[in-house]
This record gives sequence, C-alpha cells and structure tokens, in this order.
Amino acid sequence: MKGMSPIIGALLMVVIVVIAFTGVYIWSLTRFEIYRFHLKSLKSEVQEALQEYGIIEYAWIDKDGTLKMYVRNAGELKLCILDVFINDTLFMHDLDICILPGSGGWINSSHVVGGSYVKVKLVTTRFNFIRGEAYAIKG
Amino acid sequence: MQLKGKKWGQATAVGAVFFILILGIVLGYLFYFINQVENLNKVALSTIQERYEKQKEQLDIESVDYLETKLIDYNPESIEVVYGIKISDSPLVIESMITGGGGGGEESIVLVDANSAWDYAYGSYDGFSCPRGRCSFELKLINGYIGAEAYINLRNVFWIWKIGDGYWYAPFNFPKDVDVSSLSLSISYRVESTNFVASSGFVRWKFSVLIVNESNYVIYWHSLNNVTHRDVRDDSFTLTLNDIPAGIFVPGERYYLKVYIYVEIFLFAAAAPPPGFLRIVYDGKVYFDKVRLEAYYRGGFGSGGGIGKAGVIFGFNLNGGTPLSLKAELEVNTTPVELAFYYEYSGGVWRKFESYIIKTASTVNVDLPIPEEARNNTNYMIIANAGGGFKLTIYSFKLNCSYIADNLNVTLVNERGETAKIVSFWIINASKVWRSDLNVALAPLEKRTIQINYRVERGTRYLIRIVTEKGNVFDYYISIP
Repeated sequence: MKGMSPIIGALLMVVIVVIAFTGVYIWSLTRFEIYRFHLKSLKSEVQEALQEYGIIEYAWIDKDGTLKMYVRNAGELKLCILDVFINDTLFMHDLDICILPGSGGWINSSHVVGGSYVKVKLVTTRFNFIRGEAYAIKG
Repeated sequence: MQLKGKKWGQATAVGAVFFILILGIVLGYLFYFINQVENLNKVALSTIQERYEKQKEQLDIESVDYLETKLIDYNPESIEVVYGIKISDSPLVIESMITGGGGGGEESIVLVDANSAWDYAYGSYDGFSCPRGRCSFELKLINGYIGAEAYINLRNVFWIWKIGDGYWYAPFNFPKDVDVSSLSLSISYRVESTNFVASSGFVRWKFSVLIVNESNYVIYWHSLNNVTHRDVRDDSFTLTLNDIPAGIFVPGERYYLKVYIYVEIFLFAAAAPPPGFLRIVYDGKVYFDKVRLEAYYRGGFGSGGGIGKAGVIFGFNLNGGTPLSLKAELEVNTTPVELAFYYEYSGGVWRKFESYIIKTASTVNVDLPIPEEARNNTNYMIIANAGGGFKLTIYSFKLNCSYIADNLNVTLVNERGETAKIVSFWIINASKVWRSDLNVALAPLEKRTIQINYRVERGTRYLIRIVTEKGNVFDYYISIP
C-alpha cells in the first residue's frame, strides 16, 4: 500500500485537473457561444438597419385635413412603417405597412391634422426614422 | 503533498496541455470577434459609400412645354372694311379708295407714332427708401398716352432728394425697299404738376429721345429742353426734329425709338397746419400725346392719282388662346404699297405694331410677331397705302395662337456620369397634388423629353418633383402666366 499511494495521488491529481479544466472549458465555450450569438445578431441588425432606406416622396395635408403621403423604399430590404409622428407627437401607431424594395406606398391618415404645416416622422420596424414635412393644400 | 521528479513533470505537462487548449479557445474567439467587428465596419463603410453614390445623382429640367400652337382663322362675320370696297369674299379682295390728289413728289411712311406698340422699362428711384411716407416713380399710360408720374407724400421729414428715371420704347423696321432721303421726329409732351407742397427746392424733368439698334447701340440721340419748374401747371411743349440723317440706318434692320424720362426732386419741407407739422407733397405727371417718326422717300408712282387706301378689320375668336404671330398671305396689283398692321388697344383705339412696303406684285407671305401687350386682343387691322388706286387681295389672315395643351412635355437632362432612373413624377400647386409612376432611365448626360398626361392651369405656380430609384428628389418650379 505504501507503494500505491503516489500513483493514486498522481491519478487523483490528473482526474481533478481534467475535471477542473473540462469545467472551465465547458463554461468558457458556453459563454463564448452566447457572445458569438449576440455579436452575430447585432451585426445582422446593424447591417439591416444600415441597408434600410426610405424617403417620403411627398406629404401634404389634404383639403379635408387628413394627412396623405407617398413613401418610397429606396433601400435593399423590405421597409415596414410602424408609427407616424406629427411634430414629434405620436399620430398613428402599429401600422405595419410594408413596402418592397424599389416600390412605393401610400399612407393616408383617417384623423385630421391641425395647422397648415407639420413635420412628419415615420418610424420603421428597424427603428429607423424617415423625416419629411407636409403643407396644407387649399381647396 | 509534494510532487517530485517525474510526477511533477507529468502534472506540468497535463496542465500545459489544458492551458494551451484554453488559450487556443480564447484566442480563437478573440480573432472571431475581431473578424466580426471588421465585417460590420465593412458593411457600414459600404453602406455609407452607397449613400454617397446615391447623392451624386443630378437631374435637371431643361424645359417644360405646356403649350401647343394652332392657326386660327378670322371670323368671317367680323370683317369690317374701313377703307375701300370689298369686291370679293373668297379670297378677300378690297378695291382701294382714293384720297387727295396731285400725286408724285415726296411720300412718307410713318415708322412710329402714338398708335405704335409702346413698351416700357420700369422706372426706379435712386434706391433710397422714403423715410416716412410714400414715394413712387412709375412709367404709365396717362390719359391713354405714354408717360410717367412722380409722387411724393412725406410727413415729419425736413427735406428730400430723389431721382427717378425710365424709358418707353417702340420698335420699327427701317424701310428696305425704298430710298429714304430723310426722317423727321415730332414730339409733343405735357407736364402736369399738381399738389406741390414744400417751402423750397425744385423739381426737374428731363427728356431725351434715342434711336438704338437691336444691340442697344445708340444710332441717334437728342435731349429735349429741361423742364425746370416749381410752378409748372399743365404746360405742353412741342419739338420737331427734321432731317435725321437716313444714311446711319441699315435698310430692313430693326430699331427702337426710346423716350427717356428723368425726374429729379429736391424739396425742403414746409411748415403747414397744424403748426410744426412738416410736410412734403408732390404729384407730377408728364406724358407724350404725339410722337411721330416718319421716313421720307421719293414716290415712284404716277402723278395726279391721289393716295389709294384700303383697310380691313378682322375679328378672331381666340377661345382662350394667346396670339403669338400674325400670318397673312397677300397680293397687290401695283407697287409699292405700304402695309401697316394694327391691333385694337382699347375700344376704337388702334396701335400699329408693324409696317413695311411691298415692292413686288406677286403673293407675299408675312409672319409678324404680336407684341406682348397685344396678346389679349381679338381685333386686328391691316391698312394699305399707295400712291394711287390698287387692289388688295388677302388670301389668308390668321393668328398663330398658343393654347394650354392637354399634356406636358418635360425635357430632362442627366447631368452626371451615372444612369439615373426616374420612378415618380409629381406636379403640385396650391390646390392640387398629382402623381404619376414613371420608368425612365437616363444614361449619363442624356437628354430626353417625356410626355406627362397633365393639363396645367393659367395663372398658377407649380412645383414639379422628380424622384429617382435611388431615392433622390429634385424640385423645379414653373409659373404659368
């Protein structure tokens, strides 16, 4: 037994070291995978947000006081309009009007806009802003 | 426990292997992270580059043509023969009437007179605004004649010194088919000065007559006597300038007779009721009721026949059109015959806008531009004069009129070195918004005219907006008179 203890001790040490390093490895692998996932999705979101590009071709307050505008998707991804702000106040929300790349689409409000000139801001589902302005058309 | 010798070495080896493994993992992910960030930066840079490239598009609208022209015939029922006798309707033939007698000798042609198409350059003051009150100097028709008015009404101002000037002008063609021996210019003008309130000072009117060519080079110039006055009331002056050398004119060339009007007002305030209330008032007018530039030439036709004269008034139904030119096909059976064309300035008042002499007894086509101020007129008159009886045949007498077309012809130019694709066309005025899809690609520096199915309205200002596929917006403004 006296001759066995150094061997057992060495084996135990190897086992403990292996288990400890395996634990460290698995933990670090998991963490790195999580970071990788976040980094990948962040990169994808930033990339998409950069590639999203829309303009308000023209916006006006019609004779009945409603807001009308034509939005063009000049980017490379589908553009979805979520909210419309008038003079930095939420005017229309949860619209989810989507426009394919190279196309345009109308956004018409059912509510009446006050005043003869307003600043218009559209918020996309990727949280980009499209800014414009609208003047009243006189009857 | 203490490891010794071989065992210590084994533990170190195992530890080193795992350390290298862990280090490898860490470095691997570090490089992956750096790679991902680099990719992201590349995407950001390329997107910024794309946006920059998009902004490099430049489109220009070279012209917007909203008019179409039509030849309008006169209304047959409107014809009124003012001199001579109508002997046929189709073609219209007028036998001249004969006036006077004696014939031969020197004849004359009126190049410019009060009935000519006078136009003016806006007069202006010296640029100083009037301190407390109203000052104006403007060229205007006064009692139907060309002239100018200076008006001042100031309060609480001690003195004023103002200069205003401007000119009227009338075009004429120097006769090319006759040997003009001399010209004469007679001018009669009136100065009416009213409501002159000031304690001291003067008002000085100056007039000049000039003849310039189309390059605005002065051919002839004469300053009329200055009218320095304070108490001038309703005075008139007449000046006749004979023997203007005909040799300085080029036959057939166009010239302009200019009447230049200048006023200098220097007045001190008068103390007028209520006491201490400073006031300067001046209202002065000047107008030219007789202006006549005549060219004299030796008549080449018989003696004793008197002056033959034929004249017809034509009425047109313009239906919203704007006359641009008068096109006529005429023939006379004897030469020379002087033709003068008039438009009706106001009820019964006619203004001459063109004249020339026919020297050939064959069919003559005339194409005369209608002066700006005549472009609402529906009645036009032709008067023919000759040194004896003649027959005037009018095969056609038409107005070339412009109308608002149902379509717009828009000429676009791609000013840059990349193809630009236009996808939207907007036309907007104060009350209407109109949009059309377009699919027009313009190669670098290409110019193209596109037809837009939209009818504009007169008296309106429009915004034209063009949108490209890359999301660039180009705005242009047009005014429809």
